[in-house]
Amino acid sequence: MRRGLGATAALLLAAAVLLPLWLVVKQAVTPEAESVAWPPTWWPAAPTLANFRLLLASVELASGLRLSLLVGGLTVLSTLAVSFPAAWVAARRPAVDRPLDALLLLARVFPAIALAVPLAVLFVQLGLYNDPGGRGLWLAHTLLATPFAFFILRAGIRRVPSELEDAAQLDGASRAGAVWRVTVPLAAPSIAAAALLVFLVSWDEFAYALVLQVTNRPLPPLLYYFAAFSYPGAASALAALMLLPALLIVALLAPAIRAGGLRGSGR
Amino acid sequence: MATAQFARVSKHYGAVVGLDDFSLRVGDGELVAILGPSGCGKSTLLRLTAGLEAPSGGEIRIGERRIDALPAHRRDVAMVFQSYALYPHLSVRGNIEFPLRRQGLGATERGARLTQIAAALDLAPLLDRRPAALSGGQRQRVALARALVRQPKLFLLDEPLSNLDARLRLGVRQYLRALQRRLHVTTLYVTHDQTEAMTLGDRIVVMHGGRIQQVDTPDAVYQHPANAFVAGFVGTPPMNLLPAELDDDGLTIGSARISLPAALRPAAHGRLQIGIRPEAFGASERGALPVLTDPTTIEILGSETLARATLGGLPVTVRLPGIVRDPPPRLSAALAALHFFAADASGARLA
Repeated sequence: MRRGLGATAALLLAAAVLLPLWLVVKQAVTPEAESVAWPPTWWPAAPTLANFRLLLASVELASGLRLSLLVGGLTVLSTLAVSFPAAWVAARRPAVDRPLDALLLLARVFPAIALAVPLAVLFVQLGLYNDPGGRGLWLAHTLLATPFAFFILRAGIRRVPSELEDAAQLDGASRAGAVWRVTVPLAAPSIAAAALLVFLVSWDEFAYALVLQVTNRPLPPLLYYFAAFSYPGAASALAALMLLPALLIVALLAPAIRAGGLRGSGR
Repeated sequence: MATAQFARVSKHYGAVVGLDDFSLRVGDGELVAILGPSGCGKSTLLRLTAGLEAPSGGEIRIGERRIDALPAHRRDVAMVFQSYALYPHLSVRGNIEFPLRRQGLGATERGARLTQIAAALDLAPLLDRRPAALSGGQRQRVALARALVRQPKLFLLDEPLSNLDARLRLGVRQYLRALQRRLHVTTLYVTHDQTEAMTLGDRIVVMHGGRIQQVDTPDAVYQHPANAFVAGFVGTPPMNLLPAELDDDGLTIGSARISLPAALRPAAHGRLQIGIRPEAFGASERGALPVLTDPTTIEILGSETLARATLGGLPVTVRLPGIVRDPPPRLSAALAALHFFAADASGARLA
């Protein structure tokens, strides 16, 4: 009885996760005309790649993809560079941890769209607004993603006994050297998880991207642009394309999270 | 190798005293055991010496070099942690080579040192394993090898045997002693286990409440404890400590009156504490300190038998050699076995 209940719950969960996925894929291979027809179909009668051809013909796709990858990659680097030291201090010094915790929670409660406008004004003054290299957006995404990375990294660093850092210092490593040679490799699964999640945050982010990159658009506002300006087929194809890195990351993340690298340090 | 000197070292955490006014000179190649209950300051002492915490005051020197302001990695001090703190992402080889790489030694020199220490600690077949694949005793040997391989000036051991099961502990203890003698490495050995301290230490520092209670050889700590705390802490079972009253005629212990010859009288008067070791009692009825045994409470341990008894109505523990199923109803100890301590909080030994 209880097992039946659990199985049902698992099935419902799987359906909730897979339904949108199926919708996106179905939409991407449905001819534009059929996609708005009633009643909706489970699967198009004649699946087509026309939507993808339309998308690839768009001049903005390449620049959008390049910008999204660039901003995502840079955001990963800058976010980890900022949040790893902060997470280390928070993990090792409880006195610093509590105020940091509150501060980062505060940073999370501001709606992004409300911050986007003053940021846009600031970036106009700094010459970063609508930057072709996406530098303004990069900065905004770093601010956005830092709390996520911080919480993941702090949990990861806490799992590494501080005694290992002590031991490394007695073995002749400086404090920074001890963190680099012992804590970083042992927290690698968390660092990888944080990096992938930060990339996804940037890859998916819409509000800042829409406001800060009005014509040099990364993929999310480009998708919106396609959908809003009557290219539903191209929008569907782009949506399917944008799923790819997310799926890839989940595939990478799952084993990394499960790996237990800390056994054997103690008794 | 080198001497180590502590001059009035202290550590305060706000109002809490971690270590107070600690002064000690450790000779070249000497093994000093730091003995005390948890919270006595012994681990604080190690962390200050290692450079993992900064002292609030005082000086620490190794040889002539003052080290208390140096970062941990410049002190040339090695430590074996209670938890061993092996690097789980490195093989045994990687763990042992870690300090050598930090010293910037070349591959040939590293290889030579590794071979040498691996042979000394019987680790050669384990070099390519990860710590997770080792037993507790093997991990402990790896931790020792990692600490000793770079030939430190000072060697710190933090309860290194406490994670081993009892069967292994004796062997490792003897082994540690032999290794330390052979390498002639100046060592501080922190433990709460008096047997380890007694058997391993050239000298013992007994600590309590962040302060040194006594610094002496194991024999002297046992035979002439400096105060009631040391008397009660060193020895299994602990020394019997009883309240007593000293006047011109002799000693009152509970309901018992005992006359004391002048040679044995401490230079004190009034209330004090007397101490007497459980093993000081024997079957002889001629001893001046008679006790009545309670045959219902004997504990037979094989090599010895413990019994409860009363001295002037006050409870004492008595230890008899061998298996004694039927202890004589009356036992006694010689007056010379008595220790006298002040009745106040210091519990200082009265000469």
